[in-house]
Amino acid sequence: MTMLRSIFITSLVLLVASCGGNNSNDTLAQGNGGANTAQSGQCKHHNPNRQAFFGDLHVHTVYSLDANTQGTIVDPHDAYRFAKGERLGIQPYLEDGTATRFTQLARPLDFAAVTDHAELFGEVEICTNPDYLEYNLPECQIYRQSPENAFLLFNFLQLGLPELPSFPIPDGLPIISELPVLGADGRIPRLAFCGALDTNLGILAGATCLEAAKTPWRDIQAAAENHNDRSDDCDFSTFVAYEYTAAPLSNNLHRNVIFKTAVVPEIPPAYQENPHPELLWKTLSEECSKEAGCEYLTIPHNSNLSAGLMFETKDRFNNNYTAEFATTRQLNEPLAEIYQHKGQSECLGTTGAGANDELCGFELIPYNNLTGDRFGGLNTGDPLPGDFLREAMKDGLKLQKDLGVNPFKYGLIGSSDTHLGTPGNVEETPFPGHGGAGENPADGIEGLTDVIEASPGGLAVLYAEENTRESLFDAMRRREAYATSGTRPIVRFFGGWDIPANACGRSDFVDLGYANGVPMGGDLAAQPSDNAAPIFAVSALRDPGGTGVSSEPLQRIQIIKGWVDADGEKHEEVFEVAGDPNNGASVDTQTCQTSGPGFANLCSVWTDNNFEPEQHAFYYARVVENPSCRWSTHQCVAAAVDCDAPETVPEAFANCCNADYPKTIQERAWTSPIWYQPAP
Amino acid sequence: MKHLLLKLAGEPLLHFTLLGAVLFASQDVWLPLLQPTTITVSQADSQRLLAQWQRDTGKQANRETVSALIQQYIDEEVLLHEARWLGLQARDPVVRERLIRNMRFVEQNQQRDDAALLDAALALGMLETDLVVRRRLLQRMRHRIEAQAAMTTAEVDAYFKRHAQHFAKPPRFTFQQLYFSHNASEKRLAAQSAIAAGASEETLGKLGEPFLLGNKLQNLSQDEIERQLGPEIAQAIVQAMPGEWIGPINSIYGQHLLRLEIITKSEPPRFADVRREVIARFYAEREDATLRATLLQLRKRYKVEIEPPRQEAS
Repeated sequence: MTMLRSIFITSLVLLVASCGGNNSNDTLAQGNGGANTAQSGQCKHHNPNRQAFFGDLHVHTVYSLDANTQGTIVDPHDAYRFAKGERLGIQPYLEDGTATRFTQLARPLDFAAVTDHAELFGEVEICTNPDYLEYNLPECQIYRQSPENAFLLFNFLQLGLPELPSFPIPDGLPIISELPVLGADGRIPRLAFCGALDTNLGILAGATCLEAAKTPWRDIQAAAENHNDRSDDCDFSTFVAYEYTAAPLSNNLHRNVIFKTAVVPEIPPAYQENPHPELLWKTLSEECSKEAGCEYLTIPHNSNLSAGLMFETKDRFNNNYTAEFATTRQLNEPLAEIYQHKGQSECLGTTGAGANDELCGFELIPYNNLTGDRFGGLNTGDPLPGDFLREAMKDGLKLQKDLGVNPFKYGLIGSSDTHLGTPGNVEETPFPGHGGAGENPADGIEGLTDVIEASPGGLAVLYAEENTRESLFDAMRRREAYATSGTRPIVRFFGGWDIPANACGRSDFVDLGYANGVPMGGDLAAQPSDNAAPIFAVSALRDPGGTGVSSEPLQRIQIIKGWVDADGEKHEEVFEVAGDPNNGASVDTQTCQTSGPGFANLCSVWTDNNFEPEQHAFYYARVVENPSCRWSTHQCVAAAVDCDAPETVPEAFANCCNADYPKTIQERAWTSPIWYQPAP
Repeated sequence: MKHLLLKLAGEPLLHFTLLGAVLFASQDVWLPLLQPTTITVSQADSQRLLAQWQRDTGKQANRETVSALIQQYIDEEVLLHEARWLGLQARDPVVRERLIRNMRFVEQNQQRDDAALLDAALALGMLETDLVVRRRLLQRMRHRIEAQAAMTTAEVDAYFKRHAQHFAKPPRFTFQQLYFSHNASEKRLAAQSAIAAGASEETLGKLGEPFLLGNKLQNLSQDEIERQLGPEIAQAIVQAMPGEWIGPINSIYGQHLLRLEIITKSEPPRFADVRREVIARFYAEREDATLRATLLQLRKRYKVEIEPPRQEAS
């Protein structure tokens, strides 16, 4: 049997090779059509003053084995359909494959990226290690001799064995019958990017389709291609993306890698081959070059669970940062995910001048790595201040002072990290849990839908001229982005030296912001005169809610300043700039009814009167809503849990009465900072 | 194409290939006859499937449930047997890495090489018992089968025509607004008077209060208006007559005087714009059908023995 197979395979491969090797590794670049996205200015809604687009850049589907083994069968195509507003069945499933739970977004997203764990894609079969048994298999010999043809072979095997009913192949099986050169013949190769365009039919055909066997990475790319709206309606954008899953000893160094176009590496660089982030960046820079039409950025998340690793001020050899290394980090990572299902990474609120920032208690995970409370806390500990972005950004200022470059110059986004394949499903109610690990996986089973410390996660908001990959990606690069905890307030934040004090009363607020300052994510221009102080204008509209979505009014806007003084000491201060922290808004945690006044919109022009021109500084705005019930409280109320009568509380609702976790939250938005750098 | 085929016809290599192919393909016929594999579903298997299902769904199972779970299990076993027959356990990097890692964990003090560890893992039956390995092999097998789904352009055309409604785009609205917070009713009344008096657009523009999204909103669909300004405004705009001022309309932000300027009706969806999505949707359906049909075919190669489930599983 093996013998027969060998003969056949060997001859086939020789045949393919003798055909002139016309299927070289141009396959991905060729059919990808990165240029197919709407050209700038093509969208009907194009707005030169930019507009806020809401999305989710952290989504797991069936291709993440941790989601898969929890019962998620939602694939990337389903995930994008869900993001666009379609109803989706989620696990667990009945015996006939019917879902037991359904979920749907009340408000579809503008963009999304499926980011499955690359470490389990397993795109290339084992052929390169002589210790392995199959090193000498004929297909492996071919792989080593002619890797560019090997994918043809592997995929031929994938297609052909052993389901092949007979040979020669009947008409019904197009790909095989079109060997060795695939013609159109009215047949469409199975994946949308697998070949050149047939200009007559306007569909795909061509010689490269043997590589089109379905694998996770290819399916992820196909899903992104297929659901990216190319019409001038520009309704929805997708990104080809994946998660780089580095977590030495469960200390989280995860990053989502987002690609600008459909031109992407053939195999996504993963942790096994790139065991440090700087190696990831190196490999990406080699395999994703701008010249070839490939661009990328990486977005770290859950620094709160990195046990001190995410913002270490050393490289992997334990050397201090150099200017070059700091530049590399900044170029590769313009954004960080400040909030998601596994908590916020903004601030801990226990050290320094910000110790009295009570809003740092928001969705704070009580341990410092991915081990969580398993093993009795043996492999983890209390959260560490340096793992939070506010502290890291201050460290970044310090490094900038010393090196001239700030490695931790992060713009801010939120996302969900859903493992149900449900991007943007981030409202507190109904929250189906983030994966299959909840207490009550099916409707009708009682219990909290997730562990008590988890939460639904947030959204990424990008300021772009229009909803296309190109325009959104440029926004990420500019850091013109903000994060929300799942709600949809609209926030504008500008900084400059001559923003008029009456900006809030003018209808050209946004024009003024751009003309007289820089938007969130930008750098203040040099101080124009000795006594000049920077002025910040921040304006916010509350989440309007809508059919099936409740929303709360705004409570206040704060500006948070971080700076480093002449001695290199780090400082931070929270300024109340609009609204009223003591507006008396409240929630009845027995009913989740909210009450008290709030603001439909807030606006402020604030001057930093303590400004010292020789101090490096950053400023970001935090827009805070009135309090509302946390997801767990909604579920506890619905189940009529009575903590005053502990004996009546079912085990699955025990955490309703866990005093370590708050009953209410204040939804919020965090803008990307604006930075100030003294003149050299 | 023709030219190439002619050229190939003279290639000795082609003859060799075809010969190999015929020999190879024929094993598909004789192999299952010679080696009918038996898949046994024990009572313990049934019990386990049932328990897992009840735990996941919280529902009571009936006789049909048990039977469907068993059939699903047999399908999976068939796919796993086929995967093994293909040697995927040795070639697939995820499976292999997982098995070797499992064995390293089990045999922490021994210094066996990868190949030996892999053999040991297989001997221990980890292909069946390790959840990750099992899922991975099933996924790969399903992909192989789904990859055989095919369709003609005519079928795609028909599918697109049948589902054109799904790909249609909504109309878009361009409108002007004058915004007033709830406590600015005097200003609002002044603006209404100015509108009634036929004031110029420029004059009117100065009468509203500033609103962060601006006073002119362009090319938004009803859904988008609702997401930005709330359902009341969206409703009012889609019902408005172009050119006329309407309002005040209450929103969560305050009061709005609105003037619809242009409605842009969307043209029928063009295939060129949506072809990828059309093909993807069609393929998804075809893949399911292909998988079901292939599983039926593959079943024929196996002998299935099911121990009757215990009576109490009612």
